[in-house]
Amino acid sequence: MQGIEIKNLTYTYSQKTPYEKKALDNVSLKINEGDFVGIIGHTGSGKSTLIQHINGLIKPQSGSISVMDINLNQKKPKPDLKRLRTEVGMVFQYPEHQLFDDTVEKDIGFGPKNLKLSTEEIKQRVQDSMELVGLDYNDFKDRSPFDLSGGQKRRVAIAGVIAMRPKILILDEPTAGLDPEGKEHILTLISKLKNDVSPTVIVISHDIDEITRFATRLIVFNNTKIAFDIPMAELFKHEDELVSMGLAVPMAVRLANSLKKKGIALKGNIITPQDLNASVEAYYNNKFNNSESNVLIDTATSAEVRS
Amino acid sequence: MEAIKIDNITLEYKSNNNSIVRAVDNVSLTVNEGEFIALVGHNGSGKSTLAKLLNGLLIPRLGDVKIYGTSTRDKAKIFEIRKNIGMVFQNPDNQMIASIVEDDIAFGPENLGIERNEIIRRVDWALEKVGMSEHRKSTPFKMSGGQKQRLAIAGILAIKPSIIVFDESTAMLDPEGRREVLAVAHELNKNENITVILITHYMDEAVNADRVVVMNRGKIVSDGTPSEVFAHKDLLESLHLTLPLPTSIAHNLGRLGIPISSDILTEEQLEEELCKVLK
Amino acid sequence: MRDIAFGQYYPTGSPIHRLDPRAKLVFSLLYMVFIFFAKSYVAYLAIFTFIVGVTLISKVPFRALLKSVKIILVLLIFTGLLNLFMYRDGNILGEWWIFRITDKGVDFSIKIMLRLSFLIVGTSMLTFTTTPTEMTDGIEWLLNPLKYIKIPVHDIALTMSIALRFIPSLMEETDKIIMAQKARGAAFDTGKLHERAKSLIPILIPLFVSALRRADELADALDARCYNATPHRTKMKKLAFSYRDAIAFLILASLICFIMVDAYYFTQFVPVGHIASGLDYYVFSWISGLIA
Repeated sequence: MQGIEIKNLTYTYSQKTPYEKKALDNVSLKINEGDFVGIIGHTGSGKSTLIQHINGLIKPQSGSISVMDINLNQKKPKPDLKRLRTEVGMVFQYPEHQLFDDTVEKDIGFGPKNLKLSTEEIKQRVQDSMELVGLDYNDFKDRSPFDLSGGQKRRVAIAGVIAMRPKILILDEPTAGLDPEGKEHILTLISKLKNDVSPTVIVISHDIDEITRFATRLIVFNNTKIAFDIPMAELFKHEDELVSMGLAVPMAVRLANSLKKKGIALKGNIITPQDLNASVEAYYNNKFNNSESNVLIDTATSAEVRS
Repeated sequence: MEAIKIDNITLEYKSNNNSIVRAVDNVSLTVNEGEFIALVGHNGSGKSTLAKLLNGLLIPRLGDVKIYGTSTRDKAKIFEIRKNIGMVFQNPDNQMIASIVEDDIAFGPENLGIERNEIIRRVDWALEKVGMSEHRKSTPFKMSGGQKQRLAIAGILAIKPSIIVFDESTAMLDPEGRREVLAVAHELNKNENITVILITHYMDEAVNADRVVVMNRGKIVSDGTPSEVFAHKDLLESLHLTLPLPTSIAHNLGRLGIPISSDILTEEQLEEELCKVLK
Repeated sequence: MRDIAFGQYYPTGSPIHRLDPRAKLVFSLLYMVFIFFAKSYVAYLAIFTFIVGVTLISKVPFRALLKSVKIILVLLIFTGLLNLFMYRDGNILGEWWIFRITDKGVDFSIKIMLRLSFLIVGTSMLTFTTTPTEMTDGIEWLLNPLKYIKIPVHDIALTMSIALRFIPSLMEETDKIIMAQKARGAAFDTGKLHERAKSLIPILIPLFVSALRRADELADALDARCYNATPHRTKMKKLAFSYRDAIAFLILASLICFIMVDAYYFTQFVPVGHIASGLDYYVFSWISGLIA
């Protein structure tokens, strides 16, 4: 098995104290190799607790979990957490808060060094990772990570995780607190990492408009449970459920659904603003100008706008 | 009435590699009482430095900042200024002084030497204004970001300021928390006539402001109503600021040859416009 | 997220929580001083009963208290062993190289370990049942006389309460950093001692950076809320002693009397050279009488 398999996982924090809090309630889930998963849910809905399980950072209290061929419930011999953590790369919220070394190169090399790789291999991996996140090796390698801008710091921190060459990459709120430019950088980067480094990617985000841009599967957590788990293309069917959970609905979905109620039925599964634009354009052309030449010109412009 | 008058201020700081960066470069701005201003710009544009110049946390090298006529240079009157202009910061965790909600909110008025019964009245009032009255005796430690930030606002409200500056107070919050904080800011502006300066890099938070001021490299590059400012799509894009999503959808549809108004700020407007065009 | 930690307020709303913080501070100080006067095991038993009683009333789980003892466990064992092997007086029970175990050594090291445990349990009981703000108010009141010699009592008290207030935040931060570094393959619990010490750097530096950042932001927040605006600071909460404090004082006073009478009155009847002290001698004689 190359993916993740979770069965009936339940977890409670601070058991038997006034601070006792259930975080996961009987959660079952299977993630296959190559999945691009987006997870949304409120703070405290259980999503962070779930990913901490996947990386062996908390031990399962009840239920079972295995990641690739590593069974995390196994007692003897204990599961090989070291290998687990090279297979599963974890980018936490505000990952730049974990930077500690005096140069960018050393900080990114921390993970590979813990893997006891050779000096050349470490250097190679640092170079590759920096190139992937878009930081020039010669420019940045000797700089102190603490002198960089917020967006650059975050890219250094992500490079530090992908230098482990994980097969599964998990990112928790990767764009939190960044300005629009920094956000854009990270979002582009995530898709690139999926193609070049880790075939399986899981992203947790509060921002559904952001998640719809890349994930192909959506898991919604509500109140310690999985509320639904669907292919992203079916998201438009679940507007009411999302609203009832107090979660945001992508604007394009909302618009398409309310236009439909007003008798304007746009075609296609509309999830992103790009989908909306294309459908509105098609609808408009279909209704008002059927002349072929016009359609041709418009398709050309629309391709340009979409790109 | 002029609440804030900023007159040709300039301030530099030394960056880590010892070069001098001009964070605020010859900026002038007048804010009238009761206005709701959104101050936008990407990180490092100087907007947060400007915020700290407003209540005397920083003093400009050149020029003058006056709050209701009092200059921030006047050291003897610094608390006069801070009483008038409250500030809510980015990280709610780092603004909390006490571990119990009511104690924390009382901190400001206690510092001002206000009489005990009046403090209690103010704490009641401030908690009610941010909708947190039932949490009076709780500890904020396990609350959501939005709740914590509303408490931070209550802590400022208890000082009874005429102006509140929100210095990226929504940046660390989830969408729900952002909505809560924005709603409180607008409510205070409307019903308590508090002048609001909302510093943010989310353009969609600026659509309901009276005025949008855009900063880049320490200078004000655009200043007007939201529609006026968002009409300059190319300028904003060159500054790496993204338009509010409805505005950007409308702009793109316009480029595809669909006759849609480009003066669209909110989702409701976009929906209405689409109905009109497609019906 | 962690289980309850040392120094964290544990809300249950019990009568102990509702004692006046000034009273609680004074009581804790008295308690800490007088457990060092306890001589006999009977007195230790009395203290133990007292602390169990306080814990039951406070509704703070014993687990939480045991946890605070666990924190100083190493210190406890070290002190115990040091006294056990190094105590010179008394009848020798065994001897090896420079180590010597005597009956008095055994007696002394058991008592010192008990004392330290009682001390830490008492202190954590104070922090479990008193909010940092109450603590600040209490300390400020206690230190009030120092104001007249120009010591910034309020600043000191506020600094202390902010420190307490940030303990949970920094603990959470530490947890997050540890997780992040573990996820990058760092190991903190294997290797030689110097390797382990070195492995702390990736935790300590980010923690330090974060503490500085917080301090910076907090300073701005204090300024924005007019800290130091006037020397005539007021207080929303008035502290007031009540009948509860009087009852609590009477109970504590009885314990102290018992300790003192045991240590200074009954000890004079113990024959010279006998290992027992205070009421222990009577218990000892009574048990040997039973056996005979």
